[in-house]
Amino acid sequence: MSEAVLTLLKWCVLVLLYLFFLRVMQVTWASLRAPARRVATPTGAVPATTTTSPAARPPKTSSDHAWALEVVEGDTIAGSLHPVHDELTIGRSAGCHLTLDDTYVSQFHVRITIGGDHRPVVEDLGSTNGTYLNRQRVSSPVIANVGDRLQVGSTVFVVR
Amino acid sequence: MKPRNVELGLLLLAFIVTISASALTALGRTADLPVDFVPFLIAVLLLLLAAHMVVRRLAPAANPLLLPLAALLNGLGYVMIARLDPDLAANQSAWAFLGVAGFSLGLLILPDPRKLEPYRYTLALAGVVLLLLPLIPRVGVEINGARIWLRVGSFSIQPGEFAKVTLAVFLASYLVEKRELLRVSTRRIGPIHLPDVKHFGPMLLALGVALLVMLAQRDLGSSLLFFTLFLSMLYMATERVAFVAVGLTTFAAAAVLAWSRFSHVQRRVDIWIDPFADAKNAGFQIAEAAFALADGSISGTGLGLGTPGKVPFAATDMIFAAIGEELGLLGASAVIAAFILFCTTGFRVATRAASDFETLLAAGLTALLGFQSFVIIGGVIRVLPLTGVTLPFVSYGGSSLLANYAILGLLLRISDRGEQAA
Repeated sequence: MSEAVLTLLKWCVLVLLYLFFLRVMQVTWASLRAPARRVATPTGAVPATTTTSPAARPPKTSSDHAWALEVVEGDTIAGSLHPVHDELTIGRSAGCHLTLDDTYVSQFHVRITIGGDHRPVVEDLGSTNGTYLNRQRVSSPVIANVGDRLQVGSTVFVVR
Repeated sequence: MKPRNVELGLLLLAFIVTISASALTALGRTADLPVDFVPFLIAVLLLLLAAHMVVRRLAPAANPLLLPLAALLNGLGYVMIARLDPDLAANQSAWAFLGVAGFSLGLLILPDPRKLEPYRYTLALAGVVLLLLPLIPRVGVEINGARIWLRVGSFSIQPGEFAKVTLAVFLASYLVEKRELLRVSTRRIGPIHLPDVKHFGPMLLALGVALLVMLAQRDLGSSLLFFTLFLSMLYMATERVAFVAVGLTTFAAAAVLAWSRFSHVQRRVDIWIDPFADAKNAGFQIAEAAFALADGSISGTGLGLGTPGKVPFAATDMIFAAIGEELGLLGASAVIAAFILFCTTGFRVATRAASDFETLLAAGLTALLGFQSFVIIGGVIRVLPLTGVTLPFVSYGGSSLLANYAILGLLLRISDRGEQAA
């Protein structure tokens, strides 16, 4: 077979090889963009239908909504409600607003602050085991909504 | 698009690349397709489809990139091995089938990797025993100066390849449980805070025994890999840079000591610094690899048209040089790209895993595979002194291929569980 044909075929194989990588990059790009969309609508994962009281389900941007965290799963304090005024810190340290006696919780684990638009912002304080909002690890401050599921160690809160 | 359909598409692309590379090799060498080309084509297609159907059934939500990347690497490696030595290729295809079978069996019997956790000390012991087996007289054999092989019938097995995986599982489960204890400093000497030594005990024992055995077998490559696996997992579990600093300092000291005391280490370093000083003897392998890569230039000599067989161990340690010669810089870069993508995907699987143990295990196994490819590619292109380890999925070698398919199976299982929990 002539050398020119072989050279042509060689380039065809190389092009095919890189088409494979092009497709891999395309898939990776699509999958990296997908979670960003999921964070934008965090209420989708947990339906906020556990309560029928209209006061507990205000419009999300209401400035007079009294934010609170309800413990739905946890060893000692299940069912309790913890109000969030301006700031609530959670951790194992006695210096936190809410102290959790749980080895999976770091000393200063997570901080919830009410931002300028009166919505709670969840911020992980560099905890070892992470903070999960709707099963997504919180790496940078994230805005929470009513009905969101917040996991700190083995304790699970629902935002009210 | 559903992950499994993406996977199927990519597998078909990998299949087309493998088949056309194989056809082109035959055309380049004999100007004709071999008589068994159609059976070969069907066999490769069936193998890939079987692997795909297993994943579709047993790990439906798993990451779609891992299997196609492994298939592409395995396919390219096979084409190169078949071109270098048809006898080895027959063995390699048998090993690939066994690898896929083992990987399917693993996915079937292990629905949750956390089930391995209770067996952590058993697995650590199994790892050490696997490493020790080649030292037993009669069963173990020495090949090319390293006593790391078992002779079973006409096959030789390298049990150390499996030891790496079991030791990674041990480290992951041990570190997940003890990392809080390892992070916290209980003692203080001057300005240095030290964690309690007793929590390091079992881990340092496993590390020490493994390293001693590997050094006794003169298996520098594996000891280097195991040490980096240990250090990277310790760092990922504790986030303490100090451990890495201590580890690297110890490693540097040990390397200098080994270099000053052992002639075979000195020789390796000399060859690395200047392979052309003795290009006909000691530096022959590296020098020939350099010639092969130079011959390949940008797009390669063309499959079947180069002389990659001139490099000693072209099908195992030096397969990267063979690929670089016949597929050129573009083909060799594609292999590196495949490893980088495999590793980034592996770390992504780790970050999305369902439990801390799985996160650490996925990251550890990925780091192991990544370091291994770095060490051997670096050795071939003279970034590092050459240490004889296989290029994962690409090199000839049954044990290596089976162990890498085991790693792939674990990553897919962890990924499937992580995606289903999310």
